[in-house]
Amino acid sequence: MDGTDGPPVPNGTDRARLPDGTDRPSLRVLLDDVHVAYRVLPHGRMGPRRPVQVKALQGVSLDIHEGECLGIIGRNGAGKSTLLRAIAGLVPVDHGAVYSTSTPVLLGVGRSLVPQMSGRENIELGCLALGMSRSEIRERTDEIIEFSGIAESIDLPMSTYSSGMAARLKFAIASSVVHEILLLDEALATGDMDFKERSIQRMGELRDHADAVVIVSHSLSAIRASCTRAVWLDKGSVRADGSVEDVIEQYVDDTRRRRQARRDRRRAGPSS
Amino acid sequence: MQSPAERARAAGLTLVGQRPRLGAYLAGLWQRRDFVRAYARARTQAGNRRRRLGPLWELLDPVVTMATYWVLFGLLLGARASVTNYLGFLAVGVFTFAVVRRSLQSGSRSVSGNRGLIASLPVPAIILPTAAVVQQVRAFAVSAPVLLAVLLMTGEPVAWSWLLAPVAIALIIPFAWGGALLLARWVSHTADVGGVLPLVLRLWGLASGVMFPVTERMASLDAPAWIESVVVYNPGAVYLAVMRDALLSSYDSPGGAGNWVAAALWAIGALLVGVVVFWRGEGTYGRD
Repeated sequence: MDGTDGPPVPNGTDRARLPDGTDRPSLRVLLDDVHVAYRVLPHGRMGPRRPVQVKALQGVSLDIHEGECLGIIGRNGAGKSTLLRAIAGLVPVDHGAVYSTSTPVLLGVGRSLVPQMSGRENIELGCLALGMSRSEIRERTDEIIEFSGIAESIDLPMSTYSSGMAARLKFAIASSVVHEILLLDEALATGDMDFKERSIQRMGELRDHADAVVIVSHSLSAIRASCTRAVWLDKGSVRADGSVEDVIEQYVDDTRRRRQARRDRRRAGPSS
Repeated sequence: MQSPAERARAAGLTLVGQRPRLGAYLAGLWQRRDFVRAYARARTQAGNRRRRLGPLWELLDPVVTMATYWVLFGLLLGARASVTNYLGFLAVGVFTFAVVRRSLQSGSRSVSGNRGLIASLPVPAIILPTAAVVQQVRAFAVSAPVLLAVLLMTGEPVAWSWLLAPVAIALIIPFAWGGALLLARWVSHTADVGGVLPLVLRLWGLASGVMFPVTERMASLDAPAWIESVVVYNPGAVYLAVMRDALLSSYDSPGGAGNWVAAALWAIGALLVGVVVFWRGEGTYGRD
């Protein structure tokens, strides 16, 4: 690459022209046949136990391009959260690989907070864990407190907070940093209606600042509202990948079919 | 048709979740040094806030241990007779070994007990055992005045050799850090190790001479020479010897200056092995 004209855009096959004459957006994240399994010790047996494997992802391949907002849908246990954590490099991949331009960041503060410490002390702790410098933290603290909306309890230990208040503080801390490649778990936007609205708005701002976004959500309307593409994950593999409407339709159809099948079984059950 | 790996390279992408080179890994730790310090402090304060006497426990804990050992070993088993200033001997032993024992103890659990943190934030796992050691070193610094008070009360003269005590501590810290890293990796995939560790560490303290002069006893025991060198040059005995030589005018360890060499070698060795072993496990710690 000679590097004379602007940012390092990939050349060759990856820079096809779209019909309208613009460059095809460049590749940001590539998942190649990603497998993730958790090892757990089986319960209820005496003597030495051998770990058994629980497969969470079984061969997921995806391309994510610049400007895309990818929504991941699927039933509980389909591997959605594992997929996010695998993209962020937080769980080891057993087979396959994840490639990316910059390390994708999963929005959150994890367990870096200490419940016995006050909200204010935890803001410092959380921000340090996210890699902010002390001066940045001094600048942002007031804004984080204001956004969290729990200013009157900020000097009390976090263990005295309601789960809603703690979630608000965590979200306020986590969302104070912008990331190039952003991974979002919908469960983050919790709280009362007012806070939910504000956090959805904040997520929108973060999305706008990011080059590429992956969202995991159970709310199909949220996916419809913000995503440009959807992926349906089922039992650890990609069942459908394409336009938001198409994928949601297939997913909804499948859910209906399952429900119908369950009902049929129940009806047939007592007689058999 | 390009392979996925080729397409990734052509687009300028790099592998996510790859273990960085050792230098970059340690640079990552340095970058999060403020977090390490703040986390260590927060964990200490969190522990104290649950207790009515709060931070006073950091002083009370070694005092209670010392009193127990004094009655048990000094009075009942007669170790008092074998050393000139037994209380001073015991105090240095308890305070010094506490740094090692507690660093290894809490360091070993630091990764397995905080998987959630590693599995959710892009931080190098090495920050956890490091924070555990920082926490214990801070606890030692806070309680050090108690040690000095005991020494002065038992009639130890203030001597130039006291200046060697910080040097000895500076050798103990890398040893404790390296050991904590080693154990943290071990316990993270074999939790059973964590279960026997407290017992092993206490026995180790006993065998290294926290409560009575083991190394002197060895000479009169008629044990094979190799057993004697194992006892005398094990890191526990070595660090106790250098601290006692520095702080107690009434006591001279049998090893003499050789102990300082051994102390430095153990420090360098443990830290090198610990850092490399822990680094090689990076990327496996986040797994539940």
